[in-house]
Amino acid sequence: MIDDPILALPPYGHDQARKEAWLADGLRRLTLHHATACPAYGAWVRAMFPPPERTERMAELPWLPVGVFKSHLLMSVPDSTIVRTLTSSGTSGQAVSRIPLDAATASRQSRALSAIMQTLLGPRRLPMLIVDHDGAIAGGGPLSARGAGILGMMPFGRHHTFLLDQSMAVRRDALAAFLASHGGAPFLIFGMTAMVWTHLRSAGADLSNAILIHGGGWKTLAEQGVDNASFKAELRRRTGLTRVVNFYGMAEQVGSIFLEGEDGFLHPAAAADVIIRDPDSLRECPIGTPGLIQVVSLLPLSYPGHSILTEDWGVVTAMDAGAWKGKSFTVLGRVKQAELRGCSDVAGGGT
Amino acid sequence: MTLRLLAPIPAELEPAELLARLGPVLPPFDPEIEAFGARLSARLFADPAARAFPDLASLAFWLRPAATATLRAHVAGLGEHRAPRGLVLHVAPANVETLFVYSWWLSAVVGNRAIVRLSERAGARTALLLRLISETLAEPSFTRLAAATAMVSYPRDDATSRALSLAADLRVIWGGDATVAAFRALPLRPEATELIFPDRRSLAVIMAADTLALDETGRDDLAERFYRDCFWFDQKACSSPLLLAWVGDAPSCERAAADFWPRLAGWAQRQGYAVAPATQMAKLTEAARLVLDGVATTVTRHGAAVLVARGGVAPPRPETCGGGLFQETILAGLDEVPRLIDPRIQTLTQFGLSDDARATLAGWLSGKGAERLVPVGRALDFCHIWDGKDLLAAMTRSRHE
Repeated sequence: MIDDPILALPPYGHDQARKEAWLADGLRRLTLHHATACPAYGAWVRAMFPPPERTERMAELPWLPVGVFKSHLLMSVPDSTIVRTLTSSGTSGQAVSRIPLDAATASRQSRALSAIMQTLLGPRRLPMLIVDHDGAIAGGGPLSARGAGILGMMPFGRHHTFLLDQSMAVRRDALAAFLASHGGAPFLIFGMTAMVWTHLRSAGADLSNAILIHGGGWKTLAEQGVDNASFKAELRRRTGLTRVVNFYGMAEQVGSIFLEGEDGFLHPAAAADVIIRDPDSLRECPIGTPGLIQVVSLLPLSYPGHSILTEDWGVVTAMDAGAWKGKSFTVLGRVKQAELRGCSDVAGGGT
Repeated sequence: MTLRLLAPIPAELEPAELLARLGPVLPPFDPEIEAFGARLSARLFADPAARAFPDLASLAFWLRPAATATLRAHVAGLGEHRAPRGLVLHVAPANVETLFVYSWWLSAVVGNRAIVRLSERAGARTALLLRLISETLAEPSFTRLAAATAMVSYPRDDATSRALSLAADLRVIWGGDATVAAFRALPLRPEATELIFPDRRSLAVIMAADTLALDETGRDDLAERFYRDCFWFDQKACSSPLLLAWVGDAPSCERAAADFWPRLAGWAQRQGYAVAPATQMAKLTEAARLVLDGVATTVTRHGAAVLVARGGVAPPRPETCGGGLFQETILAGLDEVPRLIDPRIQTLTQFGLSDDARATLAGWLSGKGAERLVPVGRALDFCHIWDGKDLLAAMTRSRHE
């Protein structure tokens, strides 16, 4: 299982039908592995789903609601083999997900990410500007998803330069030095979408040779009325940046990121997919109908995160269209919070 | 700091100004008060907007002269000379929007002056109720009651809450553990008292054989009454059941459950009960947590609204997302019911229990929790005895010679 041949396939260009065949097979095997190795997960599979060994279709295989990673440390390998525990970036006061990685899973994640990035960047390592400060990858304690994202991307670059200092101010001298050395040829910029918007837009720099890869969610920008199109237009106008690629991914499935294609939509790689589900029936939605996003990935061995029902809302926009084939989809945001009634003042605690 | 007076007449004013303006107490069951209840009840029944909310109809019933007569009889039973306590400060919950009227009315009917603090997050029912109360209080026959009443709202502010608390003879706090804890940090005058209603939770006990003996209509009716208990307030009212225990032999319980849940889901759908996607996720997440923790062993979906997590015999979990997630268990006999009860259990709704069985069960539960034992369908009926406390006794004082 560790050397899954699917992980050696090119990330894009596979027909959905063929892809679903190997995903269904791989996910079924992973479900059975985790159900045995992580008894609590096994109990959930038996409680909620038909037996996986008799389930044919990918969409009928078990999934786990993403919120349980915030309350439960789920592990499918002995504690002693865990090399790193990832945490999601929650806003202050909120619980964070904890994701235990063993060496095999970490290695699968970096190989998968590498294959995806090479599609975009080619085999060369480009000079790399990181829209963050170096404290984000500092050792000690669990690694945040933000830090993990940077660490995961750093092997695809060289001459790494952090744009910000610890107080989140732009290091203008470092930026000028980086651009003086590398600004005349292709270079890589990586960062979280919201931080790119805040810091890069107004850095007053010529970034016309750069390719920007950014992810981490649109919540903050959506509140300011900024969407992908206006994000790109504004960056182009102010910095000359023309190659801008968004990605969607989460701490619970590192390595299995969904990259924005030429069509402006997100695309799953060979070892991953999305399934859009109707929140009431939990049945798979047809193309064009929005619903809850389920993400599946063949990567996780050390924790049962191979099939996760997220709290994100999205829609599959097309299938097997364009060179990348498979599904293309877009994320429409977090699911809407309902105001539940009740005696208990849930947001209370004050006078 | 200023607070917003919402009723009887909108204004912005300082707490000291509000306290200075407030009129004197009235005699308990003064004819003016009783007439107000009748008038507000009639307006609630007549108002087209109010008729859209079934819980407002319940409130309207509760304000009728017949209901007030019941309260009068209860107070008479407390002893001869009952007097109002004085100024009652009500801290209303954010979301059971009718509760502030019940709490205020109980204090007003025995003559108290009242300040009712409403949540800033109040919704459509609150706005409607405030309008009807203001319009009614503005009528010339209710001037003394209007003068003794203030419904206010203000952002979280310790200074305002402290000033109002120090003025109160009785402080009534609804709204959960966090609100109770925050207000308990603010002192009352030494002679003042307090009624608190912290987080509670509730469950239902149904005799399987008795539901199987019902005809189609009876089974539908049971599901409809259970729906009212649970879904009127999105299963977030503290008296709405979170857990349903079937009592009987295992095959009967299975048959009863297999018949009941689809009826409940079908009725919820016909009522147009909608579940927000975030609530669906919260229900699935909580169901998964119940299984991961070994509390539940099977999870079954019925339509969009009903998610059932079947497990062993234990009290319902404190964390609840509401919106139609039910824990379910099977009991061989009523003698197992006490294993479902802890001191945080408030209401036990039941179906199929004989008078004798209820009396026996009440004996077993005495001192354990579940002070309130009512038939399925009556979980949300407000009563002047709540959480085991006699509100009318607390809102009056005895005069003796």
